[in-house]
Amino acid sequence: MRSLAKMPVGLTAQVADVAGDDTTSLRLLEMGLTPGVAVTVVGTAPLGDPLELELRGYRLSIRRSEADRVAIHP
Amino acid sequence: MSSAEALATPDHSTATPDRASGHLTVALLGNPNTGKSTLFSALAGIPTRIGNYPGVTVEEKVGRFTHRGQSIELIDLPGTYSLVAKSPDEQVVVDVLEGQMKGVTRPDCVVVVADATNLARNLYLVSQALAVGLPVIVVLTLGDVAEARGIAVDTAALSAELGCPVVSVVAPQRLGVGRLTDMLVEAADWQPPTLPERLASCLATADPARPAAAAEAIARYAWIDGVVDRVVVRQTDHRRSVSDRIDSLLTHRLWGTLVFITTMLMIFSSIFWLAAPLMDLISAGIDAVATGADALLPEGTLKSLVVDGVIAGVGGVVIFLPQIAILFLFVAILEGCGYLSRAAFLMDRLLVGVGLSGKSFIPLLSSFACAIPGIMAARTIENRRDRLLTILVAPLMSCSARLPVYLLLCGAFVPNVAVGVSWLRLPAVVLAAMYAIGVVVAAVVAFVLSRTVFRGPPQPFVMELPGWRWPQPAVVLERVREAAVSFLKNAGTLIVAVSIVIWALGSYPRLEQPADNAAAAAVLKGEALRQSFLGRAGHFIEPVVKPLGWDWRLGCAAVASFPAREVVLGTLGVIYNLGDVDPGEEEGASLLIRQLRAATWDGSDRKVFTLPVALSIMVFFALCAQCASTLVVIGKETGSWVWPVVTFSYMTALAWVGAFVTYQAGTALGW
Repeated sequence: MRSLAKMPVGLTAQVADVAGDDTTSLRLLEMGLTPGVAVTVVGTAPLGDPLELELRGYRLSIRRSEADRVAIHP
Repeated sequence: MSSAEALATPDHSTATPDRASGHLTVALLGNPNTGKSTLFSALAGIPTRIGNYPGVTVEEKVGRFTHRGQSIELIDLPGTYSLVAKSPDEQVVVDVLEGQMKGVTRPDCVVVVADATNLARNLYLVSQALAVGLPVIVVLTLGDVAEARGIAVDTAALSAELGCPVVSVVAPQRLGVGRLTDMLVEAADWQPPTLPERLASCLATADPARPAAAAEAIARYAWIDGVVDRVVVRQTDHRRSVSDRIDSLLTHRLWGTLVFITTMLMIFSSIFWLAAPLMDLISAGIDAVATGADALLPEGTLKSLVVDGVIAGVGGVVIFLPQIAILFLFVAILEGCGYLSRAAFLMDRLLVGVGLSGKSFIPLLSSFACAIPGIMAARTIENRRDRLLTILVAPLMSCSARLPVYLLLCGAFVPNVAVGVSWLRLPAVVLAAMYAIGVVVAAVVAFVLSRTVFRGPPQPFVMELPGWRWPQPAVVLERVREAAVSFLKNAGTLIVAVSIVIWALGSYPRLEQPADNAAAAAVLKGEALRQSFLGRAGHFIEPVVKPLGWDWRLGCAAVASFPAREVVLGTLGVIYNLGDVDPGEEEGASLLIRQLRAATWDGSDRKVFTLPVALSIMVFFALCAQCASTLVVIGKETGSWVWPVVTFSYMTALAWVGAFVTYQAGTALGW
């Protein structure tokens, strides 16, 4: 299973799972990063971090360290 | 009721609807960036009360309006994504809705604001609000923007899915506002909605293998996916919206960075230069009032109190208003159009290394003009830890009040020689070094604090990048008004009080001796300051400042500059018997320079001011917290007097160490 943090810019994939049971993981789920949802990496900030994602019709920014918790289907 | 019963049941006196007094209480709930503030302005206009909820530094905003003879109190809850509280802001939302917030009546109904362009994620909060046990009205905002993007929401179908009324409102044009207010008047008599059957069954079949909260979140989205399928019609798919195109330009590596630098430079120069004429105007006005009072009042203590204490104190407060208003104008515009989150996005990587976050950037940048608006702008940082850390290091940025000190000492004591190339002069290098010292020390302090005192689990940077839209003038102006009023009301009164105390310390015990002429008056004024409590404090701390290369008069001037750093020039003038010195006056400044150059240690002809001493003074002022107003604002913004004490202590300690190292190294190197 690959991590969202390593996904190239411009690609879309399906979320497989969000690891961890702390508030950060819960926040990612609450923002809509739930298993099965399609997520696109729209871009990154000039210094490579954080990421800009598109999911459920809106834009979300998360750091790579947080994206690392999100597993995607290959 | 017996006392045992009273103990057993929680106090519900605040939880009963306040119908007897005749007004309805309505809570406004919603995700951030949904147009909640615009709706608040459209319904209630200017808020009647802005303050903090008891015990927490979460803003309480309440408005009042009357519809069909019914008085309605509108509580604008902080923007939140979930009712599973993860921050003090979210806890406040939950407490108010459950009637557990002390001094706040439990609302009679909840209005949930949902962004039609982003329905799925907004429905998450709606799904939680349905279970709060209060009548719910869902308001769909930004329907016009959604339509332009080819998204249409069937409000009747949505209402049937949710089991509560859904009203579409375009607040700036007041479309649907009438229908909403009609509903509000009746809503208090409604039954709370029953949980939609489909939602209940999704929740009932939540994955038992996962942690309960995570399973619940996934179950809610399973229900939301179904609802969105049934009520949202997308006419055009895959069409890049205007917002997306703006977004790809402004978050682009090269263009985005250039636009960002240009925008920040514009804001920064505005708080520097645009505010200057306004500040001059205020100074002139205060001077005129002081001159008037000076002429009217009889010579004596009262006059000194009014002119040097009260009027100077009030002037010292009002003078900050232009910078606060201009900064908040820009922040509100950037926030309204969606750029504030993009700025944080662009700068995050740079700041995360030292333990801050992208949102710290604008507060810190503003602090180069003045720490006070900068610290207030830290309100835009939702995360408490990041906010506190930003506030603690913001005063280390070299503000405009330090500039006159740097300029005077660089001009007078740093030799004007070339460094490497002919156009680069040493005073300019020293000046730049002073700004660099502040930045470097702030980075180190933030780094150390984030790994010691503020150590904890990693703070998430899960941030929505809202769609691009035009800022609402009403919301922007309200934001500026709010910042100005809260500064005047909360910090202003205290700053005046502190100014008066410092005036008293600098004036007592008094020296009762009439002066015959101006020169004698200047000498007497110096003598009076040296005799005062402040002056004695300077004497008292001489052993502490001696290792910095300072004589006791310099110690005195440093202590007496506690109200504000720029005061040190005037204090130096007085203490070296010059009378009042206006740093702006060329002649006065050069007189001050001559006086300072001539100053010698008591009982010897050793000069006080040498290059190492001048450098040590500059480093001290770069790092010290000699600004009473900043400390007061830190106290008010953090809601605790611990933080100003911490700020003052650590900055003074750093300033002393910095000045000590500079002087000792400079002397050892034979400068």
